[in-house]
Amino acid sequence: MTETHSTMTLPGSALWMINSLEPHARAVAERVTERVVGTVPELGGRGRERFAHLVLTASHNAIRLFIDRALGRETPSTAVDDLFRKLGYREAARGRDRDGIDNAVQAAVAEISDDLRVRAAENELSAGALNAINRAVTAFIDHLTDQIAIGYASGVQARDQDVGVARARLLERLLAGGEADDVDVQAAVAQWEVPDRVSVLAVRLADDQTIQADVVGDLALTRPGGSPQVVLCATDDVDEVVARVRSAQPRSRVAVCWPVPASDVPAAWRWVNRALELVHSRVIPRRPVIDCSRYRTEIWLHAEPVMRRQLAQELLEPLFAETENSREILSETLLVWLETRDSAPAIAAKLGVHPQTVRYRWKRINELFGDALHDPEFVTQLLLVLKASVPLWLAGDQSDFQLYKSNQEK
Amino acid sequence: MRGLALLLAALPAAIALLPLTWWIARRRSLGEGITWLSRGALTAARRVDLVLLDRWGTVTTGELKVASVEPLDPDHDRNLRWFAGALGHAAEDPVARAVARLSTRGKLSGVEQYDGVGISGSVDRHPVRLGRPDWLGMEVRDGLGVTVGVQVDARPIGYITVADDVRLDAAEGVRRLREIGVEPVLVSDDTEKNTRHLAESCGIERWHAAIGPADRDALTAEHRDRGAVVASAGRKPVPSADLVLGLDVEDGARLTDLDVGRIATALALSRRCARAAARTRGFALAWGALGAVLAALGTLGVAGAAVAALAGCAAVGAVAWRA
Repeated sequence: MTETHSTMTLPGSALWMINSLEPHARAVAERVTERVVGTVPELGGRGRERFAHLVLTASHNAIRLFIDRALGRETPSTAVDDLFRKLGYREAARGRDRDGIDNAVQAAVAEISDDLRVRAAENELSAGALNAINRAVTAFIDHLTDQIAIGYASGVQARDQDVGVARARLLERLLAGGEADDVDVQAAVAQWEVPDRVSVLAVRLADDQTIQADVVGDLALTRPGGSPQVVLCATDDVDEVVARVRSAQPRSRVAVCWPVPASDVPAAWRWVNRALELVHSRVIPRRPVIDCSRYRTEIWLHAEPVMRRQLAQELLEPLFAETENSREILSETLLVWLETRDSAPAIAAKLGVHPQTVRYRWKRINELFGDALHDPEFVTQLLLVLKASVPLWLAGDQSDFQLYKSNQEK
Repeated sequence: MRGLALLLAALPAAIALLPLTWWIARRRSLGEGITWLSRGALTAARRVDLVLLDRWGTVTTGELKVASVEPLDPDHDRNLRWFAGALGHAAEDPVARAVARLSTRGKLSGVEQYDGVGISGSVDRHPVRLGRPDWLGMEVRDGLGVTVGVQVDARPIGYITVADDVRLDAAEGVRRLREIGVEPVLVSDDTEKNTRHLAESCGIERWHAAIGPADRDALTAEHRDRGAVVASAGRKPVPSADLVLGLDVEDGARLTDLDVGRIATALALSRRCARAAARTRGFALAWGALGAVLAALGTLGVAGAAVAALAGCAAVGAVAWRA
């Protein structure tokens, strides 16, 4: 079949007509897609638009490949073959039989045949030349049908594998930010429908502990081994999943991300890991279950630790030159002022000091930072770096000051 | 009957033996915030011709007051008052009490006092030191009063000077003492310069500066040796003085307030009391003698003698009351 496909010989008039078809390949592919989608509406399921796009891509590339081969151009067929295998795999993975996709192929062939007849009539092509083209098209379609069959067989095989392996593969795809279509296929193979909104959990476990997949059952996907261990579930099930995890591993700490679409799972996984790191550094209180939605600011502010450290060295240099006590109270006061822009009595009430103490501190702050405090850009950066740094300092992190000292000594 | 008339007519003379003027003087003194604790004290008071006035409470209110606040940076004026005042509340010495009146109380921690030097502590977590400028490494000031330096966050922010809070009527009290022949002498534990300034501000011509509690006995004895009858007035008057005037003394005169005006009043009362006593005695003896003569001559019967006795007693009482 591949030989027939690769050694296409056509009379000159047929070649001329196929050559004239080349600029219209896209339009023909669109008509084919329209007919396929209209003829076999059950194909595609929830991802109907993606399926239509896949059919369009596959048919367009197939038509171009056919034209190239007919005109004797050396063009590899690998990409087109993969597309048709993918179509077959997709349908098999979804548990559908071959009838749907066979009907689709027939619809596509019918549309192409109609198009060729019309063009042959318009170009007064001989019957012999038209028959030659039809034979070539039939051989080409047979080749593509074979690719669909190969893909379908792979899909069936994947469905027959261990569902746990399939779910692990689905989780990998989600964490890697795989394409939606691919995720859908993997979800079908894993028999685990990916909901519109998911919750991502990071579970910090004690040494050598792990959460087996059966702990969360069908409610969630997880990947045993390693700490933090990832758990992913529908947002509606998150309370139940957390309860099961905590019941199985009472000493564990679970960071729960706010609901996200499946495409944002990689980011959510970063956020929950960062939340656990911030718990470790005491920026976030140490609780068994960390609701990350309450700590979005901290998670965001600490997204770039190196940038925070560099900005702190640059912007807070006047404070670092102060004594530890002075640095602590001045930075605390400056942060409250930047956050609230309140009056001295209001800030004093927040800090539990006398209003004149706040005025004194404000004078010291002005002496330290000078006109820079009138620069909105500087003030914004100052707010962010203080908001990120002060909780670290209060938690006992001395690295900023040690770095400042070592830089001074150089 | 004539004998009875004679006894009745002489009765007013016997009243002269009663301490009428003492009773009246004591009663009137109470109204002035003066309690004579013995007749001897009142008697001694009329002889006093020199009074040693302790600086604390006699010509001053007994407290210091802030005379000036001098921030090194004008913007630190309120900060200086606030931090120094807040720390001042932690100490009991007169300088700290005066400084404390500059502000309300604040959150204090880690307060430590250094005798004769100063005080340190944290106000709203800011380390603050208040004390002698040389202790704080600040330039020493040589003006009137007591000048302390103030440091916040290990940085000097200014000076506060406190001085005696002179009573508004101190000069008037001193003048009244002189009017009754009593010389006021100021005794102070402060420096020569400050003592001289205080004495001059209230019209006192003699003073003794830098006199501590241990030196006061000797100073009193020195004046007594020169022939003066010495009164000692103050919170802790010298017991060896001829008369002591204080707030909680066991003998002498106890005053509700040590102000020099009240001291002048006490000494003036003692003098008036002495004069009234002599006058009353003379009047009573004269009345009694006249009645006795008339009764002896038979001019006064028993009834007349009784009337004369009653009238005489009333008259003696009236004379004593006018003291």
